[in-house]
Amino acid sequence: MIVNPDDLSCKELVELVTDFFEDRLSPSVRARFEMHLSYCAWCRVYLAQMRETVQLAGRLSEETLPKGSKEELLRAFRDWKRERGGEP
Amino acid sequence: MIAYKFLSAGATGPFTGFRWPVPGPARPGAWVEAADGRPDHGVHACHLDDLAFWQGVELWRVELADPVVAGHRQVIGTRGRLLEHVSAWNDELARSFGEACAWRARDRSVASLHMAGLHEEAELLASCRSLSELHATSKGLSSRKGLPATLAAYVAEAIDFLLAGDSPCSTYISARAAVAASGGSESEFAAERQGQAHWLAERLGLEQARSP
Repeated sequence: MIVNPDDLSCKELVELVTDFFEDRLSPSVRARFEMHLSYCAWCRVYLAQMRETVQLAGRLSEETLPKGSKEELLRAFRDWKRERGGEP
Repeated sequence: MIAYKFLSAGATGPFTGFRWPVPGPARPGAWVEAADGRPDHGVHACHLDDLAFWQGVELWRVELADPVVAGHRQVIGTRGRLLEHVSAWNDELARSFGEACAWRARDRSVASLHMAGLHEEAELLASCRSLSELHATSKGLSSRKGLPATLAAYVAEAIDFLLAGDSPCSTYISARAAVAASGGSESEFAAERQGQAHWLAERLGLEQARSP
């Protein structure tokens, strides 16, 4: 929930970035989002970094993974899930 | 409707990256239409009262074609075009604007401290005659405790950002200072932003948004 209608915190903005990229923000929340960017240089940098990350990640496919990386990633995910108490 | 729009350098939309067609010597820029007809995807601009919320590198006077709907601190038309670059808005004026806002934050702090009976601290801030003096005094006061420290910290930080060349953030902090000086009334934020916008309109010689 946005407490001040004219003010969005940096934390709130970070939580809304994905919806902003996917154009899923309501018009009023998008206005607040953009208003925050007009005075917050850090969030402008963060948004630019996220945009670049999404663009770069979007170019990757399974075939572009270096040899052995797929198994390494799957192992890391299994370990992570096990540590959280889920099924291996 | 005539309204105003802040853009990035080169008449570029700060959020879309769209490069606006600029006016020629005796004609407005070409009309730009919303891509998909969705009302919230239209051309965004603002009234004078909301200028301080949307600061950017370039300021343009724009025309929005009807129908124009009101958004949050903005107006949105299905079509829009650039009429005139407000060249008086530049780095120098942005700095003057930030400085004026810092002094407004100082004045509000002084009033608030007097109201709280903290006359010594109020007079320390009130006696400052230059920005550097205000910076040093507010920095010193911010290391104390209670209300003087809180209010002085806002003033000091607004000047920090101003000196770093970030006028939009500086004026935002000055508006937050208005909330602190009022004892936490959030409505003071919008009120201060409106006061800032009036300063801008006066210095830039801008007219209120109207139908052409």
